[in-house]
Amino acid sequence: MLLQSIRFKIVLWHMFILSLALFVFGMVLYHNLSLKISNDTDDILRSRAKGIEQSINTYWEAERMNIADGDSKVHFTKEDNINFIKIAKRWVGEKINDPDLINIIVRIFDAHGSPIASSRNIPMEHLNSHIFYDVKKGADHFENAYIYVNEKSSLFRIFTTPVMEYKRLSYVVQVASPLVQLHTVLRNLRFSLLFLLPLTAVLTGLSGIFLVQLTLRPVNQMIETIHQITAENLKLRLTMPGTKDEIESLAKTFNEMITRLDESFTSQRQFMEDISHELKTPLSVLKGELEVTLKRIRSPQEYESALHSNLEEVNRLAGIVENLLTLARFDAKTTTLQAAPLDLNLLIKDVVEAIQVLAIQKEVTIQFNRAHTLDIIADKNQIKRLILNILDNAIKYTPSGGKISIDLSQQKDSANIDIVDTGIGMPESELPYIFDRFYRVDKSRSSIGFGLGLSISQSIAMAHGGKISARANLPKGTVFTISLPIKSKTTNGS
Amino acid sequence: MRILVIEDEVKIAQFIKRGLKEEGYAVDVVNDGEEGHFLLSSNEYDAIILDLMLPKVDGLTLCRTLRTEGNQTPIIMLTAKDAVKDKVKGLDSGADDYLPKPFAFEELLARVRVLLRKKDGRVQTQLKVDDLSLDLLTHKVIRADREIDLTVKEYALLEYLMRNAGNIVTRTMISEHVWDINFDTFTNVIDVYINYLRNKIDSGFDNKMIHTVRGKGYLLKK
Repeated sequence: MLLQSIRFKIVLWHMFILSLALFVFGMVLYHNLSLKISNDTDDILRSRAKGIEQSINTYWEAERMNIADGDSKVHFTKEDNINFIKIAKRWVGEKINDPDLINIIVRIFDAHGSPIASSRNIPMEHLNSHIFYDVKKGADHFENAYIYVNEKSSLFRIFTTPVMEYKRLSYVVQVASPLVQLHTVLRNLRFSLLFLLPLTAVLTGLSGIFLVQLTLRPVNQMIETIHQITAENLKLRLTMPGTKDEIESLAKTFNEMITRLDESFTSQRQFMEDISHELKTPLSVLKGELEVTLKRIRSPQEYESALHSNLEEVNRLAGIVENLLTLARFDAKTTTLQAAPLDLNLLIKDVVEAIQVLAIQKEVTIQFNRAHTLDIIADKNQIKRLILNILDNAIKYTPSGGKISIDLSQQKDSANIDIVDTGIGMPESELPYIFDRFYRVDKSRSSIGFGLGLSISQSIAMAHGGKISARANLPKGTVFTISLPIKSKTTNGS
Repeated sequence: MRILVIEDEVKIAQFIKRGLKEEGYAVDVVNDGEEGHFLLSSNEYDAIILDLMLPKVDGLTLCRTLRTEGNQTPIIMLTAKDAVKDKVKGLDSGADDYLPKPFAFEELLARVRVLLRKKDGRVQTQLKVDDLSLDLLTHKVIRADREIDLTVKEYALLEYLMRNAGNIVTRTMISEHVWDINFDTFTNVIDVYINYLRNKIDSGFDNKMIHTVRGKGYLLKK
């Protein structure tokens, strides 16, 4: 759990990336610094050597005048000149404490590589042959080598440069700077990089754990709350962390989801309650009537009437179950529509004829205003059922002497059927809900219930890509408008 | 014993009425809460069987109204809702009992008997006056070890007289508790039934139990 937690993963990645970045940074820094330091050292050595050469040459010019006794024509070369050797030795002896030459060893060699003078207590050794080889050709030479100073060997950066006179090697200047300091700097840097960088990474990681924990604390609280949320406990909501970040937005989104779930569960529960109520009424009648009838011996007429009544209830139950199944099939989209060309004029005429019996019983007149030929592609039985349901509903809620009119018309590429009744009407506020399953306009009245008829009608209309709506027919009554596409896009199969 | 059934599902109301009548109860049926309230304010009932979902005034509201008005008639609530919270709501509104649909008719009868018993403040299932006894469960009437065969109406009348043994019951009281709303006050049906009862209970015994109190009513005593 801990190893898989976001906290751990974030910190681990964080540390890995940081270490990598620091490693590359350290390598580049170390490399550049060591390069820069050695370049600087080389530049200093070069300029010191140049300075020494000029200084010796000036010294020599002045001394040469003295030796020549003012005769400028006396010509000396420095090469193999005993005077020059003396001058050079003197120069070295005098300049040894020059501030510029502190920490720098100066050695002068003659044109054959033999030592003339050196600024420190260094064994007088012949110039190394491989250096002399370069110098002889007039080239400068750099190298790192150990030198015994005061009988102690240490590493030096050594620069050797030839001094030419009349295109001949006249003498050699060698300057050397100890590499101890340089190496100390680099060693310190190396130490910093190798020790401080991992330490930094670890410290960052630790503080990362703390920060991530701080950031994720609301998430843990959310998890606690979410654990308590079940189907029975959908009223619970996450407390907003108030951080105005992604976590708050997550909590908000989650709460919205719970609200939607709650609504859907509530309506589902309501639907179940409605179904059970709808089924319980006929069951109560059946059970009660049977029990009362069986309490004693009855006459055949009494048995017959009880059985008739029972049959009615059984039919009622069967009807409810059938309707529920129909709706379930529409919901699951397993109803296959037998789409075929359908003459709406003819169909409505048939439906009106079929339902006329009910209308006459209630003394309600039905008037059908037919349209010009209006054929649509639809499932005949389903459309018939749809219109029958709406008409049945209209008759049920229209008092005796009332009138129902059916208007068929074409509007662009859809067929509109308006069913207008002069019935008891419905409050405007209730109209959007009447297609809900088992919706009752008056909650306490069991008589005004639409049952499932309107829901089924709506499912049929929607399966054909059409729709059905209801509005008030002022001053009294309701208008149902069924709108069906002429070329039905059958969403439910074929 | 007269019972008011307030139930809008006609068939349920019908079988309850029929079953109760066959048990000797006088039964009135109304189909909505408003009418129920009207009948209850003008008549006296021994028990009310009340449906919850009713047109005009629903069962819960009616129950609360009755209790606020001081009407103490025992009420059994009938409803398709059987969730605990619905039961609690029903009982808290002042109902004495709660029976979810579909119910067994025998259970309804038993619960009605319980309510009537409680109303009397008695717990026995037998009424006894001297050597005359009436079994409320089996409807058996026995006097001096001899079983007496009574019709439903005669039984109901005797039960009412025995429940009020020692007290004068007027014709109005009898009509209100033994007959239903359709009773015609101008007939002498009560006197006729009293005569039937006298023939069955008192004939052959020296000790006459049913007495006529002139100008007032009847009296059943030792």
